[in-house]
Amino acid sequence: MVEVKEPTVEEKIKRLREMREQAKLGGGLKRIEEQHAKGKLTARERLDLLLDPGSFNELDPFVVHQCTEFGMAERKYLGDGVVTGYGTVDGRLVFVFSQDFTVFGGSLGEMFAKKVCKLMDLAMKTGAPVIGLNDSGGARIQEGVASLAGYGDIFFRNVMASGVIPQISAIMGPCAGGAVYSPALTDFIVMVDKTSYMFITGPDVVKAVLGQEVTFEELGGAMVHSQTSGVAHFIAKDEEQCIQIIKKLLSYLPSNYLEDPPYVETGDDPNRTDENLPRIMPDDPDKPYDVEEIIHSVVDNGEFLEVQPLWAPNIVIGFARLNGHVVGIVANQPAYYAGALDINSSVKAGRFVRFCDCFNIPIITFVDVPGFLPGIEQEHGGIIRHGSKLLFAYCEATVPKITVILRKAYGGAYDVMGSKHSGGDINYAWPTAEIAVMGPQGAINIIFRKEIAEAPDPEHKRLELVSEYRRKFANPYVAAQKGYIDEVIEPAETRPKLVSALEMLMTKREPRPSKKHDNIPL
Amino acid sequence: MSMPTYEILVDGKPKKVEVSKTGNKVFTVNVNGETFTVEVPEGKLVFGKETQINIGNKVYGVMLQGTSKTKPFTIKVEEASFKVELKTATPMQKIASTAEQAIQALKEKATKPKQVGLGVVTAPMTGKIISIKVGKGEHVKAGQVLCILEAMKMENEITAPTAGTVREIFVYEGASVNEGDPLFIID
Repeated sequence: MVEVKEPTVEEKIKRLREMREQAKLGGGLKRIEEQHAKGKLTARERLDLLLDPGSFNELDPFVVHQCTEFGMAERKYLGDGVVTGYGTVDGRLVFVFSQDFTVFGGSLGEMFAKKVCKLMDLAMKTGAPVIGLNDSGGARIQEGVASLAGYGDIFFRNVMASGVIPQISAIMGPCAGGAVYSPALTDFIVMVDKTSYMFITGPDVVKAVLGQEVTFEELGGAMVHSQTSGVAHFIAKDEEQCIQIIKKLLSYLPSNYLEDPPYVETGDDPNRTDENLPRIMPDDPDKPYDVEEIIHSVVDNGEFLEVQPLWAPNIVIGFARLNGHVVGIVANQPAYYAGALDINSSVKAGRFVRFCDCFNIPIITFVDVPGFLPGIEQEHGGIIRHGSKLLFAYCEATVPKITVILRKAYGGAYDVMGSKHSGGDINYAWPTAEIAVMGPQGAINIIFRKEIAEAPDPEHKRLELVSEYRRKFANPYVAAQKGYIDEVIEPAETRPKLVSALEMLMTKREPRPSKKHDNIPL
Repeated sequence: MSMPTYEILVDGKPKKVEVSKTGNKVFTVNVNGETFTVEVPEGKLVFGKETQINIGNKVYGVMLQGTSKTKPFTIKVEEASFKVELKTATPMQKIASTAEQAIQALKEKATKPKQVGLGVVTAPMTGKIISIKVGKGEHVKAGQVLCILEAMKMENEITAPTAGTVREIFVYEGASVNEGDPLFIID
C-alpha cells in the first residue's frame, strides 16, 4: 500500500500565507518596477496612502479569470488585476477598488468586474462611499463579450448608487473607450497631471478616421479635462496629492443620502464680522473683483475646496463650512466675463447644486450676474437648453438655500441664481445690489427711445435718464419692498447672518409632488 | 512631496515621526527633529517575523509582536522590547492644506494670461480693447496693467505676466478681440 502523506495543519497555514504573499505581488516584481519607472505607484501602494494604517480588509484576493482562449489558461494572477476591499479614511468606512496595471495592463475581464460589482453591492447595503482608483488599459480583449458585460454590470451599479452613496473616481493612468463611462457616472473625477488620460477614441483612431494628429496629452490629458472639457473636477500634480484631494473631499460628504454631512468643530467664531468686505467691492459697478476673496472671508477659517476651478471660471463652486456645518457654495465670478452665465457655467453649477441636494448639503449662493452671455456661439450652442439646467436644479433642490446678492442681479439670471422665486429660503442683499430687468444703459435706450431722440441734446438727456434710473431701480430696495429680499445687510455682517440663517434652516423639510422622476432638460 | 506624519507613543512617551521614501526600500525618518536614514532590505516589517533593518551603518534585528498596527503592539529590537502605539497618521489639517495648495498652484498656472510661445500675452476672453496703457519699447514690471479689455461691460485689466520690454502691440483702442488672440509681445 502506497502511503500518501497528507499535509499537516501547519503546512496548510503555510500555503495560505504563501498565496497571500503571491497575491500581493500582482503581476510580479518586474512589472512593479516598470510601474514605478513611469512615476506611478502600484494599486496597493495607493491604498496604503488612502486608507487609515491597518484598516484595509481585502476581498477576493484569490479570484482568477476563467478564460481559456488565446493561451490564457496558463496565465493567471491571483486577484485578477484589481484589489478590492474596505477600510477607513479618518475613521469613516469606505469601499475601494484599485485597478492593478501590473496584471494584464489592468484590463477588465469577467471576474475583475464581478469583484468590483460585489464591492459596490456591499457599499450600497451598508451606505458607505465607493472610491475607484482607475489605471487600466480597457477591456480584456481575450475575454471578448464577457468584458463588455462586466463594464455594463458596473455601469448599472454606478447608476443605482447615484444619489445613494457618494462615488469618487481617481484617474491615475489610462482610462479609455467604454471604461471612461464608469468614472463619468460617478460624482467626482480627480485626474493626475501628466500620467493620466481619458478619451473615447485614442489618437490612433482620430488619425485614421479624421486625419488629425494629436497627442494623448492634448486629446485627453488631465489639463484638457480640467480646463476645456470639464470632465475632471480636480487635477492633482502627483498621485499623493490626488489621494489627499479625495480625503479632503470625503471630509465634506456624508456616507449616504440619509446622513447629514460631517459636522466639525472649526474654532472659527460664528459672529466674526469682516470690515474689509466692503472694500473688496469697487465703487464703480463696471470694475471686476475676485469673488473668492468674499468666499474666503465668510467661511470657517477661509477653507474652501473649489470644484472644477479651471473650467467655466465665470462661476465658482465648492465646499466649505459655516460654524462647522458643511455648505455648498455657488458664486458668480465678476473677474471673468463679468460673471455672466453661459453654457458651461450653467452646466457646471447645475450639476453641483443637484449633488448638494442629493446629499443634504445646504447651498449658499453669492450673486453678481449681469445676465446670460450673448452671442451666436451661445445661442447656437443651446444656451436655452443648458441655462435651464441650472434653473431646474435650483427649483427642485429642497436643501436649505440661502442667497446673498452682492451686486448685479439682472434679468432671467436673477431668477436663476437662487432667487426667492426659485425657492430661496433666505435671500439677503448687500446695499450695493442692483436688481432689475436689465442694466441702466439698456433699459433707458428702450423705455425712453422717443424722449432721447427728440431731446435738444440727446446724449445729455440719455446720461441724465441713466443716472435717474440707477438711483431709482439699480438698488436692492425695490425688491426688498416686495419681500423678494428678506433683509438688506451690511457686507461686514455677512458671516454672522449666514450662520444664523443656516442654523435656523437646519430642520427644514419641504415636500415635493409625487412623481416617477422629473424631466430635467438634459 | 509632503511627508506622512505620525504621532507615536513609545513606552508611553510621545514621539513625532515624519517618514518619506527616498529610494528603493530606503526611508528618511525624522523623530522629534532628529533625522535617520533607514533601509529595510525586505521592503517591510511583518508581525511575528524577525527582519533585518539598517539604520545609519548599523544592522538591527527587529520583530513586531502583536496583532495589528491599529492596536498597541510590541517591537523587539535585538534583546530590547518597546511598547508602541500609533496615534495619528497624516492629520486632517495637513491634508486640507496640501490639497488646497495644490489646487491653488494649478489654478494660478492656468488662469495667468495664456502664452503662445515666449512672451505673447493673449486675450483671456472675447471683448473689446477700450484702453491701451503702454507703448511699444516701454519697459514694464510684472503685474503692470497693459490694457483694459471690456467684456460684458466689465473693464478687465490685462497685466504683464513677467517684467520685460513691450516688443509688439497687436491691438488698438476699440479693437474687438476673441479669446486667445495675441495682444502683446513682451520679452
